Amino acid sequence: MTVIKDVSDLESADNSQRSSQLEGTGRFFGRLGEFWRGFKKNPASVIGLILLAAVVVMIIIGPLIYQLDPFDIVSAPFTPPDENFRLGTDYVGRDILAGVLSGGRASLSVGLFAALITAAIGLTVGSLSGFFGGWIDTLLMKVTEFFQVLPTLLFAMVLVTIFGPTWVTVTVSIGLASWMNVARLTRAEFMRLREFDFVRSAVAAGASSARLMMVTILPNALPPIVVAAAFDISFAILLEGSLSFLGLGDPNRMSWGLIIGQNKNYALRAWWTVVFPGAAIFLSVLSVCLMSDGLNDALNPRRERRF
Amino acid sequence: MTDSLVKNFLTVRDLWVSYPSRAGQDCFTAVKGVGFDIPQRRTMGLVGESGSGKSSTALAVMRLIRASAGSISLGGVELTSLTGRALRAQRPKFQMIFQDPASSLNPRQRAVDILTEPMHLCGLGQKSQRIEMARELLAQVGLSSSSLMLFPHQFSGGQRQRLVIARALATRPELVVADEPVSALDAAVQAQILNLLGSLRDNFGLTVLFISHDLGVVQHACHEVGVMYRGLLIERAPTEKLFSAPAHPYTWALLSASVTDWGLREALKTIFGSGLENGVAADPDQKEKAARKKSLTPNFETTQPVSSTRSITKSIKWAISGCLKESGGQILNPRLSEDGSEGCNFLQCPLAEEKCRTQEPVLTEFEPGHLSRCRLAAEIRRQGQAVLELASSPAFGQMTAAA
Amino acid sequence: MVLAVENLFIHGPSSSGPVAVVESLTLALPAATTLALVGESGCGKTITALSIMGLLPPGFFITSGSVKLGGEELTFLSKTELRQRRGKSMAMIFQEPMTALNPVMTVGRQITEVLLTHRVCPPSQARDKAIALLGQVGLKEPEKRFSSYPHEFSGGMRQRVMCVMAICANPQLIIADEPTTALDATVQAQILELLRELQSQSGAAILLITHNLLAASILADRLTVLYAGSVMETGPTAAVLNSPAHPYTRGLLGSQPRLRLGRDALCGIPPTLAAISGQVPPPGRRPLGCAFFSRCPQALKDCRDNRPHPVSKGPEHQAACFR
Repeated sequence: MTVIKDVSDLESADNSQRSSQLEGTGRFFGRLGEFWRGFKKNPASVIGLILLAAVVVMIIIGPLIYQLDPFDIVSAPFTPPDENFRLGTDYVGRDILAGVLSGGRASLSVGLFAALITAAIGLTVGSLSGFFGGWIDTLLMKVTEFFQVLPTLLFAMVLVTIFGPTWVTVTVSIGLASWMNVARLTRAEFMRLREFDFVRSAVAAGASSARLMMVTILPNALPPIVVAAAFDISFAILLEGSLSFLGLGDPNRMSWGLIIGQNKNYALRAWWTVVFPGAAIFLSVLSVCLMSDGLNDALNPRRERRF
Repeated sequence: MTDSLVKNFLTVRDLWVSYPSRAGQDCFTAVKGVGFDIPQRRTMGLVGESGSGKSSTALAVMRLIRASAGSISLGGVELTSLTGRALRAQRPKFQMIFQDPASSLNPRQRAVDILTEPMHLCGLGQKSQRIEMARELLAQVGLSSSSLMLFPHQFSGGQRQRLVIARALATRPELVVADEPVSALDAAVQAQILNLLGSLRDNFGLTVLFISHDLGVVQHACHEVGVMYRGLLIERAPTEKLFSAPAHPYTWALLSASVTDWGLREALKTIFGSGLENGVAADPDQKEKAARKKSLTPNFETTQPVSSTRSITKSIKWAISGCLKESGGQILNPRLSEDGSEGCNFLQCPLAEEKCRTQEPVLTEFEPGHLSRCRLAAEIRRQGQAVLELASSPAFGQMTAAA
Repeated sequence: MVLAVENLFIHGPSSSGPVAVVESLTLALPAATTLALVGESGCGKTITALSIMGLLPPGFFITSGSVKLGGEELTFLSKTELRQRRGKSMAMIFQEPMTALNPVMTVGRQITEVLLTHRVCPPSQARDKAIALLGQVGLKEPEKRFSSYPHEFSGGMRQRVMCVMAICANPQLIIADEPTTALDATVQAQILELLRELQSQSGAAILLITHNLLAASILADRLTVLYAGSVMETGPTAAVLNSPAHPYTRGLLGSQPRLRLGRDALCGIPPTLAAISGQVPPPGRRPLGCAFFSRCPQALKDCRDNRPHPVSKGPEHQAACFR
C-alpha cells in the first residue's frame, strides 16, 4: 500500500480557477462585468436602463433629425396632432414635438448637474462630519438641519428669484436646496465604517486623514450614496419641472416644465399640450428610479457566492 | 540568563486609558496603570476576560486610541508624545493583526492593494517592486500568488487571516501587536495560524504583544504572560512559571474555567468531588457516580503538611469548582458593577480579609520574575503547585481511569 | 430515543445545480444525554441542526432519510405542524445571543411571550414563572433582570437568557449551535455547565454543535465527528478522545493547544501544533472516495476512489477509515 503524499494541488486549483477570470489587463472590464452581473439580476432596473437610454438617445439625436426651432410659430394655435405636427401645437402655435425633443436637454441636464452638485456638497459635509465627529459634526449637522427645515421648492424659488432665471442659477438652486439627504446618509455611513478594523489597519499603516476619507472609507460608503444620488436626479428633474411650471425656469431654453407651465390654462381644451411633455417627465423620472434600484444590487460588494 | 542581556524593545510604563462615557461627564477607565517590557524577539501575552482592558492596552500601544497617561517607548522612541506626521513616520515599525479577518480587510481592495498600500504609505520601493514584494509576502504566509487579484470575500476565513498577517508584515515592522488573532477562527484553522505566527516571528525577528482570552493559545504562543483584570495587571510571569502554578486567586479562576484538557479535568473533578457539579443531584445515576468518585478521592486536606493553609486550598478549590458560575457572569463584567475605590478590586476573592478591603495590594515581585498583585502570592503558588502535582500524577490518572 | 436521524441527505444550491451538503448522516440521541456534533465550518453541522428544526434556508432540501423526534417523523410535517413543534418539543440556542434576542423588547416580555405561545402556564402566572426561570439559570436579581433590555446584559448573561427561552416549554430536544463560540473562555465553561445542570433537571436531550472538540468534551456523552458532510467517527466521549480512531479526529485533537498545568507546564511547549493542512473542500468539490482524502496524512490509494464505511473500533465506537 502506498501513501499518497501530494494532495496540495487540490486546494490551489480552487484559487487559481477563480482568479483567472479576473487577472490581467481586464481589471476595469472585470469590474464592469461584475457590476453588470449584479445589475441584470433585477429585471426592473434593466427596463429602467433601456428606458433611460431611449430617452437620452431621443433628446440627443431627436433635435438633429427633427430640425425645427421649438420657439418658432409654425402653425395655428392648438392644432391637434396630425401628419405635419405629430404632437400638435401649443397656445401660440409652436410645435410640441420639437419642444419635447429639445426641452429634454434642459430638463435632463439640469437634473444631472443638480444631482452632481447635491452629491458634491452632501459628500463633503457628510464625510467631514462623520469622520471627525465632535464639534465639527455638531456644527455641520446644525447647518444641515437649518437647510432641511426650509421647504425645498420654496427655497429654490427664492434663490431663482434673487439671482434671475438662467440655466445655471436654476441648476445651482436645485442643488443647494436638496443636498441634505445625501449629507446625512454619508455621515451615517462614515460613522459606521470608521469603527471597522480595516480603517484602523489603514491608520496603523500610516494613512493620513485625507487618505482615510477618500481612499479607505469613501469607496465602501458609496453604494447607498450613489443610489440616493440617482434618486436625486429624478427629484431634480421634477423640481426643475415645478420651477418652470411656475414660470421660474430659464425662459430662453425650452424645457418640459416650461411647455406644461405655459399651456396649463388650456389643458382641458388641448390635452396634447400637457400630456406629451408630462409623459416625457414621467418616463425619465420612472426610468431613473427603476435604475437606481438595480444600482443598489450591483454595487453591493459582498455578494457571497454560494459554494 | 540570556534574557536579561536582550534589551527591552517595548517598554510600557503606568499606562492609563479612559473612554468618555456617552451619557455624562464621568468616564470609564479601561486600563489603570499597566506596565510591562518586552525584550526584542520575545512574545508577551496579555490574557483576561472581555472588558479587562487587554484590547484597550493593545490599541493604546498601537496609538489607535489615546492613552490618558503613561509612557510607551518603542526601541527608545517615546510614542505617546508623537502626533501627526511624526507619528506616521514611526508607524511602519509597529503593526497590528486584528481579531476578525472579515472586518479588518477593506472589502473594496484586492489582495495586491491590501498588501502594497502599507508599503506605498511608508515609501517602500517602486510600484513593480512592491508587487513583487507582495507576491513574496503571500508565499511567506502560505497563499498562492494567483490570489493577488482576489477580493477579501473570495478567501476563506483562515486565508483571510493569513492576508491580514501578510499586510501587517508589509512594512517590515519590528513590533507586531496581535489582538486575538485566532479567536474568530475554527479550532482546526487556529492551529495553522498559530504555527504560521510562530514561524514568522522567528524568521522576521519580531517582537510580539499577543492578546487573547484563551489560555491554551497564550501558553502556546508566548514567552511571558500578563493577566489583566478590570484594567489592572494582576499577575505577570514567564509562561512556564505562570502555568506551573499561578499566584493570584483570579488567575486560578481564569485557569479553572479554561481547563478543557479532558484528562486533567477529570482528575480535578475527582479531587474536588462533586464540586464541579454542585446543584446537580436530581438524577440517581449521577448521585451514584458522585458517590463512587468520593470513595476514590484522597483526603486532600489531610495530605497537606501545613494546616494553616486550609483557606488557600479552599480558594483553589473554589476557583476550580467554578465559583464564577454563582456570579451569573455579572460581577466579572466591570462595566456593570461598582468600582471598589479602595482595596483589592477582586471583590469575589474567597481569601479576602479586612486588610484586602482597605489596602490596595501592589504588583510585587515575590519570586524572581514572578509578579503578583496579591498579599498571599507565594502561599497560593506553593499550594497550587501541590494540587496540580496531584492532579497530573500518573498514579492518579490510573486511579481515575480504573474508575 | 428522543432524536433519531437516519441516513439523512441534504442538498444545497450551487452554480452547477444542487450538491450534497450532508451525506448519509445517522444520529441517535436518547433522553437526558448529550451528543456533540463536531467539525470545522463548512462541514454541514449547522445545516443538519436547521434541518431538524425545519428551518433550512431557501434552496436547501432534505433529499432522503428520516428525522424522528420522539418517534414522530419530522420530514413529512407541514410548515404549520413544524412551527407547533418548534419551541414546544424542540428548541434551539444560537451562537450569537445578541442577534437572537429582540433588542427593543424587555427580556421578560420575550420570555413570557414564549410561555404564552406554548401555553406553558396561564397568563396570570407567566411573570412569576419567567422570573423563576431567570433565577434558575443563575442570574442574580431575576426581578430586576425581567424588565431589562438585552443590551444591558453581558454576553454570558444573554446566553443564559437564551437558555431560558430554550427550556421554558420543556422541550424534549435542545439544539445548541455553537452556544459558547462568541463568548470568553471563562464564560464558555460556565454556560456548558449550566446546560448540563438544566439537562439533569429536565431530562432533555441536547444536540451540541461545536468546532471545539475539547469544549464538547465538557458537556457531551457522545461525540460525532463530521467532516465535509459525512460522519468520520462516532463514539462515547472518553473513547473518542482517548483513542481517536480516525485521522481527522486525531488532527482536530492535535491542532488544539492544550493547557498544560503544573509540572507539564515546565517541560516546555512544542513549538508547532500538529495542524491539519489545507481547508475543507466545499460541497460539490468533495473527493469521490473518503471525504478527508485530500487532507489526510495517511491516505491510501484506496481512499481516493472508495468511500470507507463505518467500522467498529470498540463498544459503540465507530470510525469510517480503511486503516
